[in-house]
Amino acid sequence: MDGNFDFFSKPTMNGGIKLPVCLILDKSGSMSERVRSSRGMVVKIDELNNNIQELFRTIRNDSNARLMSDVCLIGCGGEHPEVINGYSSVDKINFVPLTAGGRTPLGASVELALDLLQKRREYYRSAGIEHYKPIMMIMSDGQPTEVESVVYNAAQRCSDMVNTEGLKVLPIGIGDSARLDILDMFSPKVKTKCITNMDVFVKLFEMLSVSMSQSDNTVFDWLNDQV
Amino acid sequence: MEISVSKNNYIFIEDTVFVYPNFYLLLKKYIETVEANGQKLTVFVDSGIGERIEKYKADLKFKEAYLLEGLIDILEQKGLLQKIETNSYLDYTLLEAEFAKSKKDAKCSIITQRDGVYNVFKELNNSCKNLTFYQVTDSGFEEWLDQAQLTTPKDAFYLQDDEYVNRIDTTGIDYVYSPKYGYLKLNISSQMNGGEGSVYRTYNNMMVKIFKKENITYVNFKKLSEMIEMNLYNPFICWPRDLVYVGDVFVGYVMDEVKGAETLLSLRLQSFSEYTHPERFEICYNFLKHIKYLHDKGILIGDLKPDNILVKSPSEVYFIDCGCYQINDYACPVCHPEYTKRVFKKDELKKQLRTVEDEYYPINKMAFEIMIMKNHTYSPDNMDIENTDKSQFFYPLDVDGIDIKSEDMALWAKFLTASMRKYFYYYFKQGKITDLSEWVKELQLFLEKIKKEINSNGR
Amino acid sequence: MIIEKWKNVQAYEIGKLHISRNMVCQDRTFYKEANGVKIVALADGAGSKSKSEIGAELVCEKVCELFSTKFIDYLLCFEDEKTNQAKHKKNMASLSKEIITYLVTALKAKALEMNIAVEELSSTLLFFAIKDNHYIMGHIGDGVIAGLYNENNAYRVRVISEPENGERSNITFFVPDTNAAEHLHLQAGSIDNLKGVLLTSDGAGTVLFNGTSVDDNVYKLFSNFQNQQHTDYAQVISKFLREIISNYSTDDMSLNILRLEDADTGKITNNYAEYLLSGVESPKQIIRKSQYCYYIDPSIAATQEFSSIDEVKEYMKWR
Repeated sequence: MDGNFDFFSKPTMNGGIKLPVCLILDKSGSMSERVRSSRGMVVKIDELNNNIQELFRTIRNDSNARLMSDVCLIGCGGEHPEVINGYSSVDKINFVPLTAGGRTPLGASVELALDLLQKRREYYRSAGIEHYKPIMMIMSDGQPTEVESVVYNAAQRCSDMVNTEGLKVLPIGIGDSARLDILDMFSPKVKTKCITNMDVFVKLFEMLSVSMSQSDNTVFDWLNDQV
Repeated sequence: MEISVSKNNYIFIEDTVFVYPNFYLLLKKYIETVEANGQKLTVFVDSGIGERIEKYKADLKFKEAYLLEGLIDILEQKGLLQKIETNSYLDYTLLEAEFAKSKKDAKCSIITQRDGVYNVFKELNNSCKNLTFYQVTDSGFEEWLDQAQLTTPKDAFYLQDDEYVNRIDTTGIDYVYSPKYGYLKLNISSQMNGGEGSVYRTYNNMMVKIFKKENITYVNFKKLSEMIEMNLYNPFICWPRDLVYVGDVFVGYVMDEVKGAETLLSLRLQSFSEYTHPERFEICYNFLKHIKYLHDKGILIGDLKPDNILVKSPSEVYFIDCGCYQINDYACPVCHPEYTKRVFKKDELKKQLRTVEDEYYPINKMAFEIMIMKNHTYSPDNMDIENTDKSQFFYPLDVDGIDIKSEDMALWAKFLTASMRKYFYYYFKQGKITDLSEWVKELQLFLEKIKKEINSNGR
Repeated sequence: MIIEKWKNVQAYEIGKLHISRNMVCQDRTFYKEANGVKIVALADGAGSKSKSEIGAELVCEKVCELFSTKFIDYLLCFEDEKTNQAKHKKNMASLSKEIITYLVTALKAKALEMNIAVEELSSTLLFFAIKDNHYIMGHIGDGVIAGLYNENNAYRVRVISEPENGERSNITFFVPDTNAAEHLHLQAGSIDNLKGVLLTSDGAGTVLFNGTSVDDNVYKLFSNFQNQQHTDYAQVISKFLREIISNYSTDDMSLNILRLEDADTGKITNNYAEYLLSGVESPKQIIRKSQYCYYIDPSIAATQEFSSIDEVKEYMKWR
């Protein structure tokens, strides 16, 4: 025995590895519009809800992904961004389908996401928990409704983090009205993917689940192939 | 051949040389020559030679132990011996200083039987111009020729355009034929997808790997055929047992199934919570032992990563996905960036053979992760595993009086032996490889000691 | 459907010579199955040694015990056979030494207990161990090890290991001999189409085998074992030794047979089906070899999951 450590028993420290994933989901009013898919016309927010639920179902059924994933959900809609779920394992998430409504506070949502990530990293450091590079999916179907400087400052902070190797951003524009140029400001390394076909939207989440299970760049490689 | 003598002679002898059959006769003749000519001689040995003698005794190799002890005694009595710290042959700085003191007409020699030691010490050639390396063979001393094999990648057998095999779309196959085992039905519900293809459960406690269309190649066909010929008996290596066909098209191969085991990755994600510290070290011992078994046969794993190692119990560690290992001049076409030191471009993997040196990166990295349960680049300020600087290593060599705040540091400083610390430190900081045989021996003795302690404490 | 299972039957009978000298039968046989390993062993005690039957029994038991735990370790010693002859020779020398040392240690302890010289326990030794798809066999002294092979649906018996005699044909090699390790012949390989193994001492061996030619009765010994419970068949082969072989040899006689039975479930009685399935405690001991064939191996270590033969049948979807 040495101090508090008994070398003949089981380990007490957390020797696992986490993969922090933050999904910034657009739930503004425009998400209640219909778009085309192979199944006919569907509502964007319904598609998003289904994809999220399917993502969680896949993660729960994959033992590695379930152990690794540390998921945060931010709702970008209404007047202010909402923390739908702070960082936790997928098992602890009780996802209630989102309803569309209100404005698109994209800048504030990203700032909130970055603040939560910062707190999470401090927690990892204090607990000695190793982690893979965090992934942040930033999704929007239209123009942010904030003052330009708010969006710009958030984009600057976000892209700084990407450039200093602290973050991987997955920028997704949904539908024809998505502002790809604005989303590109948040993502200096990965070009924004515009999704107009809902089948591709489903595929995005499938690829994301693979990345979350294998802690690799599958979803980013797929995105690059698509653009 | 004989070692040439001069007015001042400095010779460093690595311990396995002493126990080489009839080396004592060569040494006797050399000393007699020097004495007859009235010349000076200093024989350097690693200061840990006492431990070596004890290791031989612990291994029940008494003949070697007493021979080594006897020769060291004789050199000491003759006033020729000087012990010098080399940290298990990983650090030549003190020896370099001694050689530097020698005069211009002095003759410096290093005698070793081990590739690893030669590769570390050969850098002394830069500072010491009259230095020669020797090894002992049945015909006496032989000069070491520079062993470039370890580091120069060779070309693999590779075909750019492959028209030799038919290819079919392998989705939806439910039956295959194996010449050895007959018709095998694939259990579709057991399907597991990987990079090269999918794996299914079948009869006879076996699994079938079916390649994706683009991976049905002549190279794969030839490689697997040769692997099957090798017929490895080791049950812990899930070696290809036979090729499988659909009609007359080669589509994959069959191997034994391992049931009731978890991958090392899964165990790591669970912080190895089901195993005690000694049990985890036993897992590491078996892990390294099986790699040594493969290396002794000239087989390199290539894609060594935690996902490809299954653990059923501390004494049952299995290696799976063996069909893509590197044998002869057939390359291993896949790699995981986190467990590879060299950066490979996509086709490079197929065209170039990997070296044993390449393999030591994942070996050391995974051994560290199993034993200390942290990435080797871990430090209290650096939690990000995807830190691209793979050469960072924050655990100190000298652990006297350090502040132990966490379990990983406690394991490093108090549970690992001094040798293990040296092996890791010199590898991660300076790229100096310690042979697997040393690791396996060290862990074997360590586990025996632990078992004795456990039994005597009635735990 | 077809059920495959290894079955064992053994017998030893005193020879006319020993009857006339008021001695006991010095041949012994043994069988053990554990950890997925099935081992048959046979030993012929040295005629001139007073307690050689005790030695014979002990070495049979001990070699079976050894292989039930060390099979895989020993199998690995044979890996260099095809690729590195020099290394293989060294491995075999070292392995022979290890096995002989183990057996002689047991013999010495017994000799000490009985207050006799260890040579009084001398015997030959033949053994054949099978695990999964591999076998290891060993042979010191006289006697014969033969195998039954299925070649293109026809059965053929071949001698796997011949007797080794010394300078004179009535002198052979025994386990406690100082040079025993050099005369322990070891062999290993894949089972492939091997369907049966027969061990015999020289008593019946010289009658049933002449060089490499094989008497028809050997075929019958194997084929008549089909659909027979080993307890019944043991009496049949004992009778065969006593009444037939004894007419051709005055020496002690023994047989130890391992046969891979393949029983067609549509053609066997319920009673026999129960006999085949007895000892099966867990699905781990049932391996599906093909669409219609199941291999049963109660020697595989497992925790009990079946509580009746009916449950086993249900698991196999017995038809």
